[in-house]
Amino acid sequence: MDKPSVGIVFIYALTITLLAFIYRSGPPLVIVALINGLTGFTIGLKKHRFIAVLFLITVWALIINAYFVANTGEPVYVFGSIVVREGMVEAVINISGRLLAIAGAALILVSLYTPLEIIKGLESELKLPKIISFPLAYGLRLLPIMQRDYNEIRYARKQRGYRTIPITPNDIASYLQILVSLAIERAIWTGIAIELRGFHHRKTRYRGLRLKKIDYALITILIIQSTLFLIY
Amino acid sequence: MIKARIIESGYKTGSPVLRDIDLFIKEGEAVLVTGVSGCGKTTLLLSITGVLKHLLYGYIDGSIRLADLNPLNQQDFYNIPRKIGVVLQDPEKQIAMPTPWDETIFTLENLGYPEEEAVKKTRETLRRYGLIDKAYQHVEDLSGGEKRRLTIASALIHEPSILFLDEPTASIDPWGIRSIREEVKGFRDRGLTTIIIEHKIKYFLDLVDRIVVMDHGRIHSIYENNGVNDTVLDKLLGLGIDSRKAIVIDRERRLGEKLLEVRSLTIGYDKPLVRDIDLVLHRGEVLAIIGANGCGKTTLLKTLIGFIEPLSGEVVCKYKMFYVPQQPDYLFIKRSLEGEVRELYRKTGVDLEAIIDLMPWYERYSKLPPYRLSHGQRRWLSIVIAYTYSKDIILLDEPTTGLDYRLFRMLKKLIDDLRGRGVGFIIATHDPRVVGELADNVVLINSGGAEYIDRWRAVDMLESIAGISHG
Repeated sequence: MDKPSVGIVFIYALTITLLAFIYRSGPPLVIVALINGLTGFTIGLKKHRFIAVLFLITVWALIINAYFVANTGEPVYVFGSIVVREGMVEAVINISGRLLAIAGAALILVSLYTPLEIIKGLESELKLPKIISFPLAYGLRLLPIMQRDYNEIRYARKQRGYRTIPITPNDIASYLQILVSLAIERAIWTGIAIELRGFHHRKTRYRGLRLKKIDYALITILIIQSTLFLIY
Repeated sequence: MIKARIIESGYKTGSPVLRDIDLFIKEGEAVLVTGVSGCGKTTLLLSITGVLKHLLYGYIDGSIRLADLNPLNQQDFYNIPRKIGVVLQDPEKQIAMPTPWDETIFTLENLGYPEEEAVKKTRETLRRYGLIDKAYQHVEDLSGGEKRRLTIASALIHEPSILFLDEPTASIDPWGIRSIREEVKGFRDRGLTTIIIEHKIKYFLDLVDRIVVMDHGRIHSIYENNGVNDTVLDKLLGLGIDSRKAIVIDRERRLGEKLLEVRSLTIGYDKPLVRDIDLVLHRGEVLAIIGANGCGKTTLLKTLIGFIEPLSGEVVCKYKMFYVPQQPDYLFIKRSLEGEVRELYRKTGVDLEAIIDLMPWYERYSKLPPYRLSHGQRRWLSIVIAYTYSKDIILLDEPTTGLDYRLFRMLKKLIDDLRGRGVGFIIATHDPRVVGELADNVVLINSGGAEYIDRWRAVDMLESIAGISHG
C-alpha cells in the first residue's frame, strides 16, 4: 500500500499533539488517545519497543505522583491502607490519555519512514527550516543507539543488584542521567561534525505537497478527531 | 597551508587550554600532532578550524589562516568546509545519517552539488572505500573499521585540500589501523595537507614529514621525520606517548586455584559466532582474548557472565564474576563520585576507606559527577566498582580504548594490584600493550574458532597486522 506523504503525517502528528492538550478531559481525549495509541503502538511496537517502555515508565511515575498530589474526592478503591480517590483516577486517565495520543502519533510518524525520508520530506514538502528538520531526524537516528545504551545499563544494574525495570523516581533518574549525558555528548560532537561538513550551506529543495488518496484519507480522520468537541 | 599563532585559547575566558602556539604547515605536508590525553591536541584542532570560537563559544586570542581563509571570521568559518575534511575521534558521534549512502551524500547536498553529480560522486566514493555493497544497510550494522572508513569517505568526497584526522586509531583493531595507514599513504600521494592528531604515533611515524609534540597546552618540541631516532622515541615514551612497539614482559607468575573453566563452548545470538571454546582462568591470572572487531570477544564475555545464553557447551564457575563494559559510564548510579562510593559501601559492605584507598585521586574529584571525570578516571572507577562486587573474577571489555601510554601504565598498576589480591581477569582487547605487559595467557578468536597462542606471537601479530612503522 502507498504510504502517505511525510508532510501530511507530520502535520497529523503535530495536530494530534495539540489536540491532546486542547481536549483536557472527557470522551474527546479518550477517543483521540485510543485511535492514535492503538494505531501507533500496533504499527510501531515491534520496531520501537523503547518508546513503549518509556511510556510505561512515565505512566508509572504519573501514578505515584498522582497518589501524592491529586488523591482527593470520594474513595474509588481501597487496598488495605491505600485509598485511591476520584481525583487520582481522573488525573491518571487525563494525563495518560494525552501521553498515549502523543506517543501514538509520534510512533505512526517514526514507524512509517526512515529518518532520512522524514528530513527530506519535511524539507521538500513543507519547506521546514533545516534547523528544525535535521534535529528531528537526528533524534530518530539516536533512538537505536539509546536502545543499546538502555540494554547495557540494564546489564550493569543487574550486576550491581538494582532493579532492571525502573519503578521509583530514583530508578528513573539513575537511568536518565546516563542516557542524557551520553546523548548530549553525542549531540555536541555530531553538531560539530555536520557544521564542518557544510551544514550551514544546506539549502532546502522545495517541491511542494502532492496529495494522494491516502493523504486525503488521513486528513479526513484528522478533521473528524479535531471536531469531536462539537459532538461531546 | 595552515598558519596558527595562538597566544591563548580556551573554552572559558580566563581558563586557557592552549598557550603560545606558533605553527606553520606547508601545502601538501603531513604532520603528526601528538601528546598525552588532556595536553590540548583536540583543542588545537578545534581552534584551527574555528569551531572553538563559533560553535563552542570559547575564545581564541591570536591569528589563524587556513588555506586562504581566516577561521576566526564568521563568514570565512562557514566556508571552511569547502576547503577541509575532518575525521573526528569517535565515528559513533560523527555519523549523523542512517545509511552509508545518506551519510556520504550529505556532505555534497550541504555544499550544493547538483543532484546528478552528487549521486555519481557518492557511488564512486563508496566503491573506492569498499562500502558500495553496504550502501543502503543501517550504519549500526557496519563494523568499527567500516564506520571509520565511512567517516573518511564522507570527509573526502568533496575533494578538500586539507584533511584533519583526530585519533584515527581509537577503538580500531589492527586490521582497521592498517587500512587507515593505507589511506594516509594515499593522501600523501595525492598531495593533501594532512594533520593527524594521535598518541599512538608508532603507527604513523614513517608517513609524516614532521611531528609536533604538545604538553600542557604548549608546543613542547617539533621533530623533522628524519630526526626521529631511538633517543627521541624513548623521550616521547617517557612523556607517555605510544612511540614504541609494545613490549612483552617476561613473567614467572605462580597462579592460584582454578576459578573458571569453559568447555566446548559455542557462542552467538541466532547462529554460532565462535565454536568450541576451551579456556581456564586461575586466581591472579590475566587472560587476554584477542581478535578483530566483531569476532565475538564481547559476546564471549557476556556469555560467561550469563547475559547471553550459550548455544552449547558449559561454563564451570562457582565464583562471582563482574563485567565492565567498554563504555564505563553504564555502571554509574549516583550523581557524584562520593555518592557512588557511599552507595558501593551500602550495597556491598566493603569498607569505605578500603574503596577510597583504591583511588589515589579521590579527594580532589569526590564532588564531581562520575561522568565528568577524565576518561582514564572513569575506567579506573569502573574497575574499582567491579572489585567491590567481585574479589574473584572481573571481565573487562576493551579497557584501554583511548588511553595513552601514561594512562595505560596507571591502569596496569591498578590491575596488577588487584590480581596480587587474587582477582582473575579476562580482558577482551586488540591492544598489544595489554597482551605484552598485562596478560599471562592469550586466546585468539579467529575464523569462528578460539585457540591459545603464545604472548610473543600475539604481540608480533597485532603489531605487524597494523603495520607498525618504528620501534
